[in-house]
Amino acid sequence: MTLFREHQLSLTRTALMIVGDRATAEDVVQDAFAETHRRIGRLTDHDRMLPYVRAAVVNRCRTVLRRRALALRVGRVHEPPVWSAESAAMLGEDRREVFLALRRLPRRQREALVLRYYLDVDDAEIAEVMGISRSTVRSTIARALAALGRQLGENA
Amino acid sequence: MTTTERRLRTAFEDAARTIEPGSLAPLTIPSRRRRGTWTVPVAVAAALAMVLVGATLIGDRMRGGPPPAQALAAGGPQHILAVRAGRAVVEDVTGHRLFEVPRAEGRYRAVAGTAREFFLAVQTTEDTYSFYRVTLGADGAPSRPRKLPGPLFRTQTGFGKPENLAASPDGSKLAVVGTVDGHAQVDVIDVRTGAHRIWRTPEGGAITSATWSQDNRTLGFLWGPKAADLRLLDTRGDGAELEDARVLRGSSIRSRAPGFGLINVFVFNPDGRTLTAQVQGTKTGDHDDTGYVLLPLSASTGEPAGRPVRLPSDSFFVKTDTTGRHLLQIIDGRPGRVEDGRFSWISRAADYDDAAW
Repeated sequence: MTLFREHQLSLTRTALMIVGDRATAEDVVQDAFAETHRRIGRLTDHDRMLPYVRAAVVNRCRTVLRRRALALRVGRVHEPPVWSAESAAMLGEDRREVFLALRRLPRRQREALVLRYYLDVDDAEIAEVMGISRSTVRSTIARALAALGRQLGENA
Repeated sequence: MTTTERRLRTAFEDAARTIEPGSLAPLTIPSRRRRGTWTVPVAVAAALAMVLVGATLIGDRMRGGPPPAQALAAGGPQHILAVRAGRAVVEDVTGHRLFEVPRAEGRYRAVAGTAREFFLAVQTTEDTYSFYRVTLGADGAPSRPRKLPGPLFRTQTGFGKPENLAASPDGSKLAVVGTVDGHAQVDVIDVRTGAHRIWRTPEGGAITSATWSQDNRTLGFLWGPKAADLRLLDTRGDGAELEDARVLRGSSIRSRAPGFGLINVFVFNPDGRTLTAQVQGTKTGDHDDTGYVLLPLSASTGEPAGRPVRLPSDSFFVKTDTTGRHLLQIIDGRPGRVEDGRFSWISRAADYDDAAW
């Protein structure tokens, strides 16, 4: 599990981009670490460990977002700090505008953008991490950029 | 890299730095628990469930499995020209491959169709393209691709993004929308001579969704210096500014379904009176996803003008046939179609980059 520890920072930062707050991001990575540790004996291809742990983190993030969607239905609004008004002071208004636009995207588009533009992961690995085909990765990113560009009034 | 991509990277990097190295609590390995006594009954139940599911699946398969794609009614298109992994192939309307279009000098990237012929964009270098014309025989057999006159076409947006190539209904002109040197740009190319006119803007702004009206002179697209609008450009008019294009409506829309939404792409319908728009709704459900519909709009007012058709996901793609009754879709690389107010898949394959019928 050395690899997991080596990548703890980048994995936590990746989770932050998807779930929006540090505390949840840390929990997500800890949970994914525990799950991966539990299954370590069943993983045959140890060269593919990094995509596997990234997938575990992304899947945990999805669970968090599902819970939030349920909470929203009963009137509990969660405002993750990265796209909250307070973040404007921390990151600047320009960055907050980007995160607000990101928040309006469907979950899958947001995940694909984080993997591509934060982690610099190629199509093949994004496909593996997200459990979708490479052509779906390409079309998802193209759509996400177009939608984001339109929301931000820019070239996609 | 576009402005959006640059801003995205910067925003991610800045947000990432809010978690400083060394500030994280160490990961802890959970203690192993003994296997509970409940694991045996759970395993038995799981095995039973698998047997039941397996039996159901086998039963389905013996009954023929999911229904095969149905052939279209008479009067509809008989063939699809699809771009898959750099190749152009002719398929029937149930997704069965019939012919491959002979290779050109590069990889096929996009296709646009008219009643009589197809136009293919072929990538020659990273940002240059040539255009070829192909006709199909009655059995779908493609002609040898003929290169259109004119210099290499340059675009940094590339093809494969939402609807950036369109052929006028009479096949006399191609339109390409995209970004060149950071500027949104419309190119209209005369298919016969290769001459082309350019409309551009000193401002940026994503430009997508090229579509020709039946008058063969009005080009529709989505663009705006701030938020995107549905715009109509008279390609025979004076001027070379994108701002000359008339605003039909904004891309935000409120309709009964899917509620408040954004128009991702639209096409002119052959009736000349209506458009079909693909609309992304507000985010819903446990998976934080949204609803998607195809929605008819009035070509004169831009207001909803018919019943929406639900789509299984976001397509950013809609192409009509010459009757307007058959709409082609590509969703996550997989082709589908809409007829009589219903969506159905054409194929299970998910490697379609573009297609036309």
